[in-house]
Amino acid sequence: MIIHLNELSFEKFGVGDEKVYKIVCDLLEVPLYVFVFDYVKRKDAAEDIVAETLFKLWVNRAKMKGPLHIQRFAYFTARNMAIDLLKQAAHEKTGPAGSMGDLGQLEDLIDETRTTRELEEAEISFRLAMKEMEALVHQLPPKLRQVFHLRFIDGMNVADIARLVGTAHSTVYNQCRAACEKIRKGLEEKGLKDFL
Amino acid sequence: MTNMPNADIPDLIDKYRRQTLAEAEREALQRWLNEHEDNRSYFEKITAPGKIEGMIKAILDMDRGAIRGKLEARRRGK
Repeated sequence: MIIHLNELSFEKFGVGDEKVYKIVCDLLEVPLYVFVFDYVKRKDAAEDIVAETLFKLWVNRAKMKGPLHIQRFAYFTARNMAIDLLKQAAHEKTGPAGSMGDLGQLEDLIDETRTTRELEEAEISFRLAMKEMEALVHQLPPKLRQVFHLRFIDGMNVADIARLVGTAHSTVYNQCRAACEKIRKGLEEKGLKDFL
Repeated sequence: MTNMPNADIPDLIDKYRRQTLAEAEREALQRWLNEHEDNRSYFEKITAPGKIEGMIKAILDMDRGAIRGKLEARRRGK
């Protein structure tokens, strides 16, 4: 997931253009969420970290040196916040007297030499998930497929989809819900019921 | 991740999962796995049962509206 911004768009991002910032958020939101969720395993915490990361990106927009820098900044920030959260949770578990030795596994995660490789792995993992998602979406009826694709793969919001396909917001919402249910059922049929 | 354009790797791993690797692709994947212990370690992690499906489940459960709400609240507070 490399952010593709032309020179003009990148300049606009740097000076705080809302439209370009939204495009960047749309591109980063889902892969960052998946990346962070893999660490923290909690929906609310992952959502908080993604929101905070995108906010920090806004605050630091003028310091970004290019699209790749934006991407790396976002992943590093999200990763560090996820690790902080895990450390905090571990401290709460062991108590204030708990030694850092108890956090050995977490300390390994902080090893900077691992970070670049980890980000590459995150990108591959996300692309694999998207490939699997595409395969599942392909099995949906055409209308659900279109709406699901726009919502979850292209990252459009419900209002924009409703406008694009010429239907009510509630219809888009219901179609998204129905598509999600069918995909969950597809995953269950692959023998993952217990896992889910 | 070493010595192979990453662009090829997701495709090879995806085909491995679907058992649709051609012989040349199987060899390419094997070469990549043999190049570095980290490659093999990642491969084992990502092909573990339920791993990719768990990522899809996370995407389906994610509330983008909540994220946008939290983001806007932070921006208004700044």
